[in-house]
Amino acid sequence: MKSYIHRIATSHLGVKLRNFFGLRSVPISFSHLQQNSSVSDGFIWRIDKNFKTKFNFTDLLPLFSKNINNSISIEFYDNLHRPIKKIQLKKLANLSQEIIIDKKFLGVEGYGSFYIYHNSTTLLEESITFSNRCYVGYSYKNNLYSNVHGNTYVKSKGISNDKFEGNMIQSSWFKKYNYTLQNSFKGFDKTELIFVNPHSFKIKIKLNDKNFNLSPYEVKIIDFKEKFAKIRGKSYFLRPIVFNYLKDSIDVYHT
Amino acid sequence: MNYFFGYSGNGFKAQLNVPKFQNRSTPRSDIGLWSIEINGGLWKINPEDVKQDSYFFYINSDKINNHKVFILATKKEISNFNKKELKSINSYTSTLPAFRSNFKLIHTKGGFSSYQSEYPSNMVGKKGSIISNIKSLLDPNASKNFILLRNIYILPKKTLFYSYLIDYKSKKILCKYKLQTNKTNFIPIDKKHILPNVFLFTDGYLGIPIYVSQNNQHLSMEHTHPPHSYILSNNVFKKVSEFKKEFYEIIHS
Repeated sequence: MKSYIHRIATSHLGVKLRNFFGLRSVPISFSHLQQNSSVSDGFIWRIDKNFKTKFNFTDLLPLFSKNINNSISIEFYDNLHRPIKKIQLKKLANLSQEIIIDKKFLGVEGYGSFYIYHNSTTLLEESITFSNRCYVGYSYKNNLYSNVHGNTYVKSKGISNDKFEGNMIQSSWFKKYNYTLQNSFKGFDKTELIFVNPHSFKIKIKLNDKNFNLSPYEVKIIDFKEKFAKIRGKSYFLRPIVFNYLKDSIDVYHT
Repeated sequence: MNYFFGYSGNGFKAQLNVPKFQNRSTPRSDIGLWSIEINGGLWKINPEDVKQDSYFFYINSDKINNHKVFILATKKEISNFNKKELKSINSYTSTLPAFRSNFKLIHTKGGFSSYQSEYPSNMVGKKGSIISNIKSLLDPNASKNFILLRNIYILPKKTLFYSYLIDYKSKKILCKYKLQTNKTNFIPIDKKHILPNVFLFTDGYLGIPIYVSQNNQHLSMEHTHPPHSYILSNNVFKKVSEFKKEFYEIIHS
């Protein structure tokens, strides 16, 4: 009986109901994804006269499967999630890969998001769902890249098909969640908090006493001048990337 | 329960900001900062007198060495502290998202980098191995690259174990390093080894690998994830042990 209740509670419908009412909420759920999915974080790129971005990732599928017909696709979007570019990488010789994301590569300046998916043209011998957390480096004024790993599951794609899914990060209809970043932002010339909306729907957040809206998958850079950051909203897991500036140095980290 | 740690040496020092508040709650006034070190073959716990305000304990570099770890606990909870085995004494830092301190690494001649850091207690009782790709976070164009590998193990012992740089494609060991349990170990990395198929592999003990690059007065510091955190399906342990087996075969061949 207990295992039957557990199965219902952790099913897609069970998770939805628990989060709808905010009772024993589930912050992240993969229960609605198809088998054999490649889950991507919402990675952030930024390019302007001061910034370029570096993306480091590992070709993971060959490590977990004997299949050889593998490829990686990476999709780039602007801050409002309008498509910019899609690349497909096949027959990679090395496990670790690096892409410099600058104006020459992307053709535009600004900031936005990108997503990585692993693909296979043949069925895998054993089903697997995985996420490649990857690492993004930000070079400020051509100095050393400051690296940070992926921090928020946002989208998913079938490894052997083109079905996309999202909303792994859960939200409530009624309950609002508080999240206070566990560091102080005092002592820097400037701080930016960069959010990616992990949902396929518009969300409202309150950062300390200011309200912000984020459209589906939108990336928003917020100049932050206070000592503490408290985020309040119906999204269960909205964690920004922090950019702290001191003279010509930056310190980038996930929260 | 989470442990917090820093590093000191090779021209670097650390500062830790340890929050008194859980990330979904307000600060607790009765929570204290304690340090734990090995002393005479036992774990010794001491209250730490550091600068603090209502929200944080600010641990300066003079309080940090490569062996000491820090925890948050009330005086009452400390009465349950086990001198023979490092065990959880509360759940205050067991939160989702994870309860983290800010670990800032500073070079004595300038430059800093930080990350939100924790060492979860569920890693403390386990032996095993870690695998981590080094090219993803080290920069062959930087003037200096190294890995800080922190291990915290349940027993109050400084036991030697080995880590390796392994080229996964050629199946060759490039370097072998002698490390110690219950220590933040410094692993210098030559730029000739920062190659796309090279992995760090530890034999016998777990740890958190933190990758640091330094160029001029700029630093980058970030940790990697263990392979099992990549796999979200139920076959996670099977897949990871198959992967690790390949590395064990290389070091024992």
